[in-house]
Amino acid sequence: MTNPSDMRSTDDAAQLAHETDPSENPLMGNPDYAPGAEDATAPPGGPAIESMGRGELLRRRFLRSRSGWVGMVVFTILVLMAIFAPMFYQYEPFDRDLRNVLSGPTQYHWFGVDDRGYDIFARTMEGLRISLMIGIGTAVLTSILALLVGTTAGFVSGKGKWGAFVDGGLVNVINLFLVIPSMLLLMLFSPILQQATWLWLIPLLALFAWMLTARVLRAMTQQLVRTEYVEAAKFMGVNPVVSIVRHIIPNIASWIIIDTTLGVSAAILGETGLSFIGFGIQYPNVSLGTVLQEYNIAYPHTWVLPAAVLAALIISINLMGEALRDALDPTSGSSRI
Amino acid sequence: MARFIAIRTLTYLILAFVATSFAYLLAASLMNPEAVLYPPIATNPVPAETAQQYLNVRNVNPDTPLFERYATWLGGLIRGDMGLTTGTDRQLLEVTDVILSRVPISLQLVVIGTVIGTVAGVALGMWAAVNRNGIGDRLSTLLAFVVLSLPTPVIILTVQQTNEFIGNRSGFKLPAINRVNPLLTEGTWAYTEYQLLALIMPTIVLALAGAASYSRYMKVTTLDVLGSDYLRTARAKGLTRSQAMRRHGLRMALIPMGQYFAFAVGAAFTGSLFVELMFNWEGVGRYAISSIALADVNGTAGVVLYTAALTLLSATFADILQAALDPRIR
Amino acid sequence: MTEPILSVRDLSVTFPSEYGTVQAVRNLSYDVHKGEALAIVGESGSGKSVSSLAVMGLLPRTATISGEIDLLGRQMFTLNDKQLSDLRGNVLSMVFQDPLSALTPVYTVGSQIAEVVRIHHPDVSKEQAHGRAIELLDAVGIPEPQRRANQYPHEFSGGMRQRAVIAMAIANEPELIIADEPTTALDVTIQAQVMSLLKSAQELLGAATILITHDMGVVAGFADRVLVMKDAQLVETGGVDDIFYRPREEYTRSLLSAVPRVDLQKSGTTDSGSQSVAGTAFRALAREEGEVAPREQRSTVLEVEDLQRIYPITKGALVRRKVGEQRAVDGISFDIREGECLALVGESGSGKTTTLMEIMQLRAPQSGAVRIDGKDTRALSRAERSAMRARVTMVFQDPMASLDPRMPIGDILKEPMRVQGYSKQRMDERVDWLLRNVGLTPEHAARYPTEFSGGQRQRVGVARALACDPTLIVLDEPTSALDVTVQAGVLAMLADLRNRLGVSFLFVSHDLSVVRHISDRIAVMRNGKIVEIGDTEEVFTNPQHEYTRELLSAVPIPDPQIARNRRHTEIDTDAFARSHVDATTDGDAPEGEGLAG
Repeated sequence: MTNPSDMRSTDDAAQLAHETDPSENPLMGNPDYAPGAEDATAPPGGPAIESMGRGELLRRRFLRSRSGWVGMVVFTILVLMAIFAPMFYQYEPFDRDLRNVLSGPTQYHWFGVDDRGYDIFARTMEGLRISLMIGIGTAVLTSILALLVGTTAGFVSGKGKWGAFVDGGLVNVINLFLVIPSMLLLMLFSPILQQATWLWLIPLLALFAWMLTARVLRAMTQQLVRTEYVEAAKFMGVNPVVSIVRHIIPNIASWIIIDTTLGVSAAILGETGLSFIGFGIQYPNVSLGTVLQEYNIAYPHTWVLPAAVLAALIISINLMGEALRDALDPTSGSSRI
Repeated sequence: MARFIAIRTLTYLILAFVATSFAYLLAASLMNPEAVLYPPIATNPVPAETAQQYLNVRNVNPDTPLFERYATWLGGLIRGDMGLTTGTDRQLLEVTDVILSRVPISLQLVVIGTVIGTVAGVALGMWAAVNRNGIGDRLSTLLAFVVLSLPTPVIILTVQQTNEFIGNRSGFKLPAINRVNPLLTEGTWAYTEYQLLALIMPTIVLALAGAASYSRYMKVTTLDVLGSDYLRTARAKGLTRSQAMRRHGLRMALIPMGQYFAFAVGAAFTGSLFVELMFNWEGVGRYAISSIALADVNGTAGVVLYTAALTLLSATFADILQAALDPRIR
Repeated sequence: MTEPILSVRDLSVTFPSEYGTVQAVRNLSYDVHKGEALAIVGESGSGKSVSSLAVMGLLPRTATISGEIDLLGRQMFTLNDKQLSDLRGNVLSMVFQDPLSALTPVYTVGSQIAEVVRIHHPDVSKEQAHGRAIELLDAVGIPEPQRRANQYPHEFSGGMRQRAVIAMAIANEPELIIADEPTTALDVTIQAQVMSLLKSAQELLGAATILITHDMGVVAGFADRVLVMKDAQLVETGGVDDIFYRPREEYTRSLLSAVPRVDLQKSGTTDSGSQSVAGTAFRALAREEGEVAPREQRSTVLEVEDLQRIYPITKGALVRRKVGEQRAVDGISFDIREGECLALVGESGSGKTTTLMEIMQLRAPQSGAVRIDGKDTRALSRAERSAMRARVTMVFQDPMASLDPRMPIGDILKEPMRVQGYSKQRMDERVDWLLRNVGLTPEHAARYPTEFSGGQRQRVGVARALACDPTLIVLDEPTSALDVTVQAGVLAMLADLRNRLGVSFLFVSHDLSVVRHISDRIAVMRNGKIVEIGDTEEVFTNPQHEYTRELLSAVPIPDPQIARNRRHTEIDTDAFARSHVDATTDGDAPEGEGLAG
């Protein structure tokens, strides 16, 4: 979705420029690549690199990142809250307490009450649940869709006339979806959501979110197909599908994991935006977007605390994603917080 | 170069046409514009003949086959007629007129927001990359990160609440709602002043989001440029760090930014949806929300055409910019 | 001896890295005198480039530097960026390794050369600077300098770009020119031209030069003094003749002996100190080869007949029309007999890689025929083709890219065997055998490619090619990405394998000196055609085609005496002098000691 706050779009575009750059792809580079002058890359006393796999290295770098830790802890707390808080909290999302309308946070109403008498904390927790489910579901679906289209297009693009034709078609589909204002189309689909279940929002959001990822994956696949080890597999007579599964997917897997992580926050942003203007999650369900919809500028407590929970959720996910990205490619420098 | 631009523009035109058609068909098949004729509170129903006439004149009669409606709409589109609006009003309003009257309002927001956001983002991103790991870099990166992690409504609420807070303390408040003050007479200084003041907050919101994403992107491309051989050559020729960056690095770092410009405009439109809604501006964004809510098929298709044209124009502009910057693609 | 222009004392450079600090240069000291050519030689990672970037003051900010660098009485480390900029490009200039990326792509070549003039002589007008740029381009031997000055770098070939970079470096008549691997990315004939251009430019200006290189052959013809570096430290320094004829250190000796020499015969009898390791290995083989049946009686492994590959050049994005064709491979024929090694030699763009790909695809070529073991590849069934993949295998150029970084070595070696349906036990046995045969140990099977050095990885690549008992191995520049000492080892291993296993090689290379010791026959390619084919000795001692002679004479020879005799002047002295006079008479006499006005 072309959401202005989609954290991925910037990095994907940058990534794309990087990937399509013929020089060097950092993803396929050695893990012992050290920034600096080219002569310094082979350290004379090269310690510790010797017997460390890529996964192990990723894990170590991630755990060394402070922001990655913070993100992980906050995210875990939020998930636990979403699961357990509604179990012991005394109010339900649609319990009305008309005597305390617009009262601020108290020991009974932790986040206060909105102008219709709803308890904001109960609604926020309920919204957190749904937003999380939508976020994770959409991100996984998006990645699967992008993986299918991206690797297919990338793999066939170099395979003769028909390959180029199929690739060209898929690229045009990607561009078409990028031109369509996805927010408007999602709004068009809202009658479906009202008639059926809110779960439909997951495939719908995914339908408008896969393009940038697919484009990057296509570029990465194209580059991998040209590498000598995929060429070597071809000359050994290895089946193309086996080649994709054995050589290409493992080499882009870490990038997909990162993109899926950031995709969770992008999907939550999309969903809350849509719900905020009344086209996403609707009664009788609650999302963080519909909670925010009840804002009253004269009573800041009506929106500040739910917004803080939403921000904490997205920031924690993005922190984890960024830490993973840095662990994968320490030279990218996308974030230094 | 002209050839390159011409081919790209043709591709965009086809894409825009397909996108709009897709949106029309989707809207026409999913929406129920006849629902406005049967409001739940109405005591006696609209006569069948009147209803038929209402639906036919708007080309939204569900009894007409979908593709016939589409063909009629397409025929009108070629003549520059996008049909009549549907809704609770009885007037025969032309979609074209409605949208055209709203375009300047929206465009003003989107263009000013994008331009300020782009320029600020490019400057900030480059500065952060050059002074990497300094306090300024960390701070701006953190700020961009937080802004990108907030949904647009939350940014708007934060800006409005800040204005409210300052207003309550100092007594001076920016107008938080409406684009013009209907109580003032047009043409007077007070009227214009209100208009200018009212523009500030919406622009801040759009520019903030744009600058945040642009600065991140710019930082990455600038870091690439900083590690490049040609920049080292430029310094070996006797340029100082900053001279080399200004004369050689900036232009190279800007080239990939061109590709992203089209996305930025699209993003600014989506942002303007929220801005127009929450600041109560009578722009295209608000119209889009209301026409979808009221099941206005023609209006929806019109809005999609507008956004497609906007994307198309900005993509073409980006191509021209890129061709001007980079002799390799000319 | 005169006062040194540059004196480096106790230079140490360290970089922070993931695994602690990396010492790139350790306690390096040297002097460069006026008009002297110093060569700093070392393999990758020896710290040679870092030390010269330190002199330029162009190290990344993360680097920690200690020691002293004194340039014409100025302490370089006490100067700020502005003061250093006044020196760079004026008193001190640099030629970089990769001409493809050294020029800013968005400005014309002329304006980039004019820029270096204007930076240090702001009083020279734009037009004068442009005129000077044209004359400089003329001086470094670029045809049609008027037109070329207004072109962009991407319209220049690699060699021409390097000439333009040299023009930039000499524009302000510097006292010291640093050339960092100036010819590594270039073809051998271009390399020879660029090196002699650099040499004549240096002699013309009387400037001191530091040449940084890994190639002893280039050093021999260029340097007055040589400094050998290894693992960030100085190994040995001395006059060029001392280093080449009387090396003191073991490392220098091994470096020299690892260089394959184009001028020494395979069965050479003179055993001087500079005989190469690879050469010795082959000499031993040559004796055994005598017992093999003559060529005509051995069976043909590969036969290529009138092979063609033509790419259409199309124009137009919407309607593609053919405007011409590129004859990448233009009707070539050759054959390889059992146990034989044919070397396919040519410069970039000669069509040698395309030839390889046409053979390796095992399908019908565009035109002509490829026969393997007498079977035409056009007539192969699916199963036959799959079986054929085991008989014809390939070793790739880049050992970093040819092994999947996500697979342990054992799995990489098993991949071709799995396709051929080997049993699990047989595969395991075979992996052990293969690893032992290429000089690795069976324990290496569980490790990942990133844990190996370039030479070791290339050994794994060879082992993979050997996995299913092939009859023909196609080697695509197998040693061009390796350091010379490593290259010698891999070449010796290849020769040994061929001898023991009786497998045939098709060895593609751009480097004649590498090929001399391993091949039985040589085919020289140019513009898609084979211009000469014959026995290796024949081709080297009595080249028939003019292009072959040109190639042979361009190969640098790591022997200072021979190299000195082959020098010739490249720079257009008149053009340079003209530009020089123009710049100094038209503008007011600029300050700065670099310009003798």
